[in-house]
Amino acid sequence: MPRQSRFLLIWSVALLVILVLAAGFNAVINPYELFAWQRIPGLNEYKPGTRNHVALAKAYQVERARPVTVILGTSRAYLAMDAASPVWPEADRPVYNYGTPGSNMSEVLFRELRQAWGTGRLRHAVAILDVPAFLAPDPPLSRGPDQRRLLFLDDGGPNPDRRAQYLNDAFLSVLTMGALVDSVSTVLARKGGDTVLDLRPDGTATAADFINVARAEGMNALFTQKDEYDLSRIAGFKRVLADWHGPMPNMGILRDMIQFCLKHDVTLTLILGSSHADQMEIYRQAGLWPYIEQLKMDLAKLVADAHSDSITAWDFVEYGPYTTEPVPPRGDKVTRLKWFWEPVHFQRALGEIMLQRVFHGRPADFGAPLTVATVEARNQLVRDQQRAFVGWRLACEDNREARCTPPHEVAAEASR
Amino acid sequence: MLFNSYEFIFGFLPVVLIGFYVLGARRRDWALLWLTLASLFFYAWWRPINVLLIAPSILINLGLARLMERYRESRPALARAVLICGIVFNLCFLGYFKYTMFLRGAVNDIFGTDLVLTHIILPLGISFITFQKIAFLADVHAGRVTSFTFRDYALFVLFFPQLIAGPIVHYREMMPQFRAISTRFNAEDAAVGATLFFMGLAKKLILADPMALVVSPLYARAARGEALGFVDGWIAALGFTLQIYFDFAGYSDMALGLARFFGIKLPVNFNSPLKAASIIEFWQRWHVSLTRFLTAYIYNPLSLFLARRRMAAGKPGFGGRDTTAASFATLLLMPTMLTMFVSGLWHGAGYTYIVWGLMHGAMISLNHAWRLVRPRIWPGAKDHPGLLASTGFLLTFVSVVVAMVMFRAPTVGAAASIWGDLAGANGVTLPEGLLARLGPVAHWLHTIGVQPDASSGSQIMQGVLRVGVLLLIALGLPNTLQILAPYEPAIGIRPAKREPMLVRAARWTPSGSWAVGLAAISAAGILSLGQLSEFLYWQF
Repeated sequence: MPRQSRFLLIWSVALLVILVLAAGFNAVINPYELFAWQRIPGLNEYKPGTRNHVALAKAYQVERARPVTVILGTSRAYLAMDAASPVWPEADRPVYNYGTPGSNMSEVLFRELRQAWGTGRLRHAVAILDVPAFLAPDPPLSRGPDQRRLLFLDDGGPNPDRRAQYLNDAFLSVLTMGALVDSVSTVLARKGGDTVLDLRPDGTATAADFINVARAEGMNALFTQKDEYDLSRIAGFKRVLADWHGPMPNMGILRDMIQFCLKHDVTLTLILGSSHADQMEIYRQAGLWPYIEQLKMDLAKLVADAHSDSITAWDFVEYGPYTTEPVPPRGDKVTRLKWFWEPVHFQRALGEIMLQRVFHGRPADFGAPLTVATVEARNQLVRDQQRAFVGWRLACEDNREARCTPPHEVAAEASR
Repeated sequence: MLFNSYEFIFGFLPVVLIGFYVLGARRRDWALLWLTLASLFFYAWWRPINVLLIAPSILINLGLARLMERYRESRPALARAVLICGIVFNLCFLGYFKYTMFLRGAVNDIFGTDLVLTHIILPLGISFITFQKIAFLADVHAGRVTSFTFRDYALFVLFFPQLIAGPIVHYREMMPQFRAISTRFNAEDAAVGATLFFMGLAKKLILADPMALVVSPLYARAARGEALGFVDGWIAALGFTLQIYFDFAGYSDMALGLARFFGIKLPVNFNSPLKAASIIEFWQRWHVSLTRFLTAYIYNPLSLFLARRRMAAGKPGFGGRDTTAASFATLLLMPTMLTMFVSGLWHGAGYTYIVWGLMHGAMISLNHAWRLVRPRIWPGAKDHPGLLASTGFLLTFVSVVVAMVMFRAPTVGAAASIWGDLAGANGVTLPEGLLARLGPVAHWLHTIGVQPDASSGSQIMQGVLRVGVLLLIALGLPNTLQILAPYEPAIGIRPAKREPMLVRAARWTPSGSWAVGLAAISAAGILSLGQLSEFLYWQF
């Protein structure tokens, strides 16, 4: 056989063997949780490869989990709401965390809700809402892969594109370089630890990315970066809201969610999740606080319009012991905050406390149900807290030598 | 259809190759006809209307070429008029589709008018096809092409490996090959073609595309009016240079490889331009076929015309020690600037491309001026070849990188802002987390004015690492043409008489180890197909 022909033969066979080996390895390691295989301890127990494929992984995970309760939301729910928490009432289990980073709140929430309902036994949905999601309308959803992965279409009929999308996802999960790299990182992360990102089968993720940055650069860097991002969005919010009339943006989506839940006998708990005082102060100083109060008012009205005990709303946006923790100074890489990673993302410990409050009523001094009857008083209370916080901070800045512990923190320490 | 797509690699290409060899075993003209039809299908794949737009233009050019062929000897003035008509027609054709919106925008900008900016569908590869057709008309007029048929001409224009993004080929270098090639399977051509194609695929998907993830957010920030700072500014500039470098290198290798599957050798289009020791040499290595076209059809005729005019007026010409500032300005600066203006405009209908072209024109002129004055101000320069080469390389590299910011930036203002970042005008900062890890170096950096900031250290490190690795590959390793030189991967490429050891060590042979190595590279390329991305040069 001529040398060139032999070259072509060896090349073809070697290429085929490499591709088959890569596909087999990816299929076994299952880096994106696409297949229903069991995880093998010491090989692929943790799934750092899901970092950039959360929507893909969760669309199929939720089908296997068949949850009775689903947590809906963005990265805040993804990171901080524990689906395996003992706080969940027994009747509400199993719980699946459908929080998806990078998603826009409104329509994706609705999409997550419908997908979870489509798995067959959903009775309760807990939606973690973000304040900025209601300061500007979401762009229209494109008909991308997320849409094609849905079990059912908007009209309730089965989704004919789902099978083709599954095959496409399966192909991308076994025959791509990205999958191979993620499979290798999955194997390398087999020992676990708090610096390894994992997406558990119940949809809850570890906060490894925040932990890694906090260790390397300190929590001040996390806060500063997020504050800069929040500040960069203010002008856009103001532009939209200047000409906005009626209920806050995206409230229509929540109304649709409520109707959906009423129709399908699903209890819906809307939770306006906590933000750190850093973020709330940015909004206050930008003159956006009245809109946040309006948002709470709109939420209360939506719930009232539902005329059903199965639809409730809770508000955790306040200046209290959990949300005014002082941020460590620049360069401090040791001090950790207890409740927040940065101004937007609260930690799992605070998520637990929110769930405790919603399902068991404790601690009574954190958060409150939002109803038409109580929302005005609630807004007034938070305004008072805000005034006290601003006053304390000004005094603290004037006297740098004094110990600057927020008033709420002192009170909380004392009560604990 | 993209070269780097599943449908091309696993569908179109195998079908076309099998059809070519099967038909070629029976009748050679069937194989060539099949190749023409397949190329037409390839062109129509993305937007079938492209064929309707480009087909009349091809037919008109063929008709004009026939007229010139007929009257070239008997009525040269008519043949010349036909040539001018043809050039004007092709430029108008290109101008309408590519520049209408830009010109209207420019008129609005300058005169404050409110002309409507309607979007016009741009036929794929129109810039390349138009230049190729103009070159063909010029060659027919000059008698360099003496006979051609409709089939020949259609295959020449539509041959898919070079249809969309070049190289810009001449009829006279392609058709003799089409007439001579064997239409039966040739293992050597297939082996060399596969090597070129899959090495190009890997360059595009593994080296170029991931760099976009680093670079694009930085230019988006600049577009929003944010200052990038010194470090991010340099990552943006170097990163994009390397992105487009490997993108174009990858495309060029794939085009050479695809043509070689059919036994055709294309001209060199890309030859490690970042290794150039002068900006003149850079343009002899970067987009070589475009440089060749612009030199032959714009620079040379203009320069010749101006030289004749000066000579007729009794003014001194250009060259040697007697060159005057006026002759330099008239005979070199002006044609160079005009040629590079056209080069910039050819790359894109936008101010940034024009400024980029003019910058290169100025740099090329400066390079020529230096070559003229160097013997006078530094007679012993040739005794220091190492110093000349290294200084030339450094200057060229930095100039190309800095100019590339203008090529990529969305506006001239954004590019200027990034240039300010490169010069440290917006301060020099490093992420606090990164400085904390540098120990005593951080203290020294602080003393020279480097300040900490709150940006992500891991992102900066990722950018620096990617840039470093790609620089090492671009500057330190032999290129595909060198590796495959004994097999003439492009027209005229042969092994150099004296080659560095690294080139000799990396030489391609049809051996088992190369087959396995290429299989690994091919597999990496195929596995990277999942994320589709267009070639940067396809948009021109």
